Amino acid sequence: MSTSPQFAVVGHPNKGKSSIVSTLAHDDSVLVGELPGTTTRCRHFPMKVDGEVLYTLIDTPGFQRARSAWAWLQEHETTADQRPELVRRFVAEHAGQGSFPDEVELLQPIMEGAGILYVVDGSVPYGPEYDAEMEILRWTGQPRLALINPIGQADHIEAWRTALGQYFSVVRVFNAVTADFEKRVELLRAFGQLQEEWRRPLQRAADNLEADRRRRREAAARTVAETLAEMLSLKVTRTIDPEDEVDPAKAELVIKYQQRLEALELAARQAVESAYDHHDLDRRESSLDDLVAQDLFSAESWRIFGLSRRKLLGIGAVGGAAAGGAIDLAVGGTSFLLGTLIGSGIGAATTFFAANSLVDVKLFQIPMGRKKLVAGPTKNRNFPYVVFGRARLHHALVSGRSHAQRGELDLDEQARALMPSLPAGENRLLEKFFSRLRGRRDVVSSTERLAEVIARVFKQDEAADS
Amino acid sequence: MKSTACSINARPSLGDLRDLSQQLQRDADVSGSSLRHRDRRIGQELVTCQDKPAAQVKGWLQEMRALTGDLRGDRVNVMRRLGLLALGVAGLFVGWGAAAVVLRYDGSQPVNIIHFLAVFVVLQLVTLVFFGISMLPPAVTRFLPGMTTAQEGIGLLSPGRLQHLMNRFLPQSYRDTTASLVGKGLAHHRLYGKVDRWVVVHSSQFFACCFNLGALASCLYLVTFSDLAFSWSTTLQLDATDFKRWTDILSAPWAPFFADGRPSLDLIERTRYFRLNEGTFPTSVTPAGLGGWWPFLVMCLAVYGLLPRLVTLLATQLRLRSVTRRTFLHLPGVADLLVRLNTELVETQAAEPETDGGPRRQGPGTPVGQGQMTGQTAEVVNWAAAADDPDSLRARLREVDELEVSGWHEAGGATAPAVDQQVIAATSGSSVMILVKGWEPPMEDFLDFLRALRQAGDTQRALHVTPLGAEPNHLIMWQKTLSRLGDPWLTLSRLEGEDS
Repeated sequence: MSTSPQFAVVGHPNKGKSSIVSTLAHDDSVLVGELPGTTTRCRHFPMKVDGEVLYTLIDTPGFQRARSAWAWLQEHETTADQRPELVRRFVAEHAGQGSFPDEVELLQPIMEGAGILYVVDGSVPYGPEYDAEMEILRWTGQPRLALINPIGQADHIEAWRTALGQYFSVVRVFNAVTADFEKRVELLRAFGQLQEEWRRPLQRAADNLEADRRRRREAAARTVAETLAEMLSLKVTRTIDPEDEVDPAKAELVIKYQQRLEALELAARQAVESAYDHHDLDRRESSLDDLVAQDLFSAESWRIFGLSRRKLLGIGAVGGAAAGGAIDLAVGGTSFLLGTLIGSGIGAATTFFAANSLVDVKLFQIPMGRKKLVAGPTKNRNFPYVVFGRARLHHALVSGRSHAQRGELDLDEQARALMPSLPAGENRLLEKFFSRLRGRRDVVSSTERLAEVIARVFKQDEAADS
Repeated sequence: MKSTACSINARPSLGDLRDLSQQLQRDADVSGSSLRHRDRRIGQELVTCQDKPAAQVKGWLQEMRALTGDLRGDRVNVMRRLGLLALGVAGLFVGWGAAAVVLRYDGSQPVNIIHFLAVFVVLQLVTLVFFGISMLPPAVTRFLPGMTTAQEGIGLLSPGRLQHLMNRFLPQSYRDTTASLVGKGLAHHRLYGKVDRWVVVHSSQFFACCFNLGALASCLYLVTFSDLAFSWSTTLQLDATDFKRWTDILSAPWAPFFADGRPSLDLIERTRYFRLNEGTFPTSVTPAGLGGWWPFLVMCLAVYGLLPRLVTLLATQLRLRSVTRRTFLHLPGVADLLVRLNTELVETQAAEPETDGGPRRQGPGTPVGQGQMTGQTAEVVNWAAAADDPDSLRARLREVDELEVSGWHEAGGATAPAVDQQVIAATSGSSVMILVKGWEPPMEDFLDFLRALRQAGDTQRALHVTPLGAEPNHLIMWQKTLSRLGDPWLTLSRLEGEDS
């Protein structure tokens, strides 16, 4: 028998047991079925750190014949100190027989020492049919915690609190679908309150989960930074014969360039989802390809994710002012801040006249009358902000998405509501590293520094969300 | 691997770089969870290399080679060595040939030292300047107009590019691996570009070293085994004193410790040669005196030809090594790999695979009807107190649904199972309507009741399950679950007025 704490997630069928397990175990392989009785066997979810099990969650089948099981226990009632032994006898006598397969399956781990996490749905009224289940659990003598999981409108929580409070020492409301990471870890710590010797392993588990979460966030940020670096340096070339027409070849090259951008973005999306253990997410998002086909400053999505021309001008002016300020400093202020003023003017003007289209195709003559067409790298100032804005929204939704959540990830729908603007300091840093990457300066260190800034932004987004 | 010190050579080769890139690209298609498992296991074996990331990544790569068996970076290293060998041999031949041409002496005219200096000193210094220009970093070239174009032009002339050319004549399997040697056909070309550049530069310097070695060997051979007569001749207004000044400048590096390597004024004056006096040498000079230039010429070749190239070869070797190492550690994915190798593996997922609900979910369909009990008489079972106000519901059944309630029974929920049996016995001769909570799932407890109800009395009597307060999704759940019973006389009914 394992010495680490175990927790059996039990309850009525279809009240979100599997959702709770799926969320706490970050495992989207758990079947969350519409029909009662989707779970027929116990399934173990050990939380391990380098192979050492700190605790185990056990998803169990729901009670199916609680009344009859309770009647059996009442028929054989003995003194209070013998009740756990009686439940053990019930399990032993009915194991392998057809009358109580679900009750035997769910009570087995409890009688082997697992703590009880009893799950009810706070969106439906309390009913007396639950009494038998709670009585049986009480008779097991094991530490118990009740979770009110409001699957719909949380209209009946108080009635449930009153009923559950009579059987369980701890009663908490926990929505398996919407609970963010902080709430999940907090719940885990609450498990530790059930029994003194469980407190330390669960505290350790919570600390490890938090460190692991940080690493996943940093990995996601590196993925986004590396994708941006690839995109900003992307160059696509094509050689054409003397008799070939240039314009159609140019158009084809631009399409190829956009397809490459899209492939890079898609790979990044999958890598970020994989970093958070979300597999085969059904994602709905406007294609980058469609966006870049439009005017970059007027298209709706560019407006949402990118910066307005005014903001871009501001960033350009600040960058120019910094360079001019360095000159003022070098001449000991004798220029009366003229450097700063001129620098900011130049910075703003450069930004204003910078490329508005995504990419220009350059034409080079090469020997034997052939021509070389080169698309990229992009000089568009708004482009990296749009790519980053989209990546930021995607990360916010993926990192905040519980593994119990089913259905598609609709980025377009949520784009408008979820994009708080960045602090000016972060925007300036982004511009600094975007500019370096565009100019292919210090690519390696700029990418690493950019990843740090992005990780910070991701963390702020998570904190704002919780 | 439990030794206290890391035993892995931390210097990555080009083959390592190629294998690392290939494996990281493969890993992009593997789930994060699988990668964490695999890499943490390897990381624990490499724990002694924890503070040496390059050694750790190399150790990981060794493990991956053993696991996959198809990482062929060793071919890259072999091809690189073969390429260098071919370039070296070519350099030796070209150098030998160039010296043989410049030092050609058939007895009719002496060897003109000016030619030798032009080819082996001036030209080499010019190519060295070109090399210097091509090495200027972007931070400098950005401020020098046209310098980037000049760099590209110089790059095209580099003999190191012969390696690219040689690649065309290799079998396909080797061509693929050598393509990665020069950074083509791989993702992340922005990083490989630097490695590619330094591979070409290093190869060029190796060629130049071999060229000078060949020339030096040729020079020494000709001096040793033939009777060379050196002289100097120029159309320029240059007298012996001026020429002496130039030779003094050139021989300054070795003159302090090798006096014979600096030509004397006397030798310079006596070995001047005018082509108008064809076939005649200065009268006062002996044949041995005509050969007195060779120490100077050999030293010029060694100091202005070979030595700078040895220095540049060493410098480019170090730079190539450093760029390779830097690229090795900064390929996209390496930072994540190091995290996976060095941090605890946290797992929360299931220990066993998910199975579906099993045979319990099978069964034929049962139609969902509405209001089929209108105008009938039936016993009503209030299951688990679904109707919390029985009196008003009875009235409603009579008035709205036109149902004659012949008996009202409480079962399920808080009642004991024994009560269910009494209800079954009491309703055995009639049609039965069972009111249930629509929002609660139908459990085996209830299905057992339905089975028992069917077996008691008339096996074809109508049994109507009527969920109260059910949403459409609840009805689907009830319909699917009841269909498992395969009872053709069982229907799912709704009360009049309850929206579906």
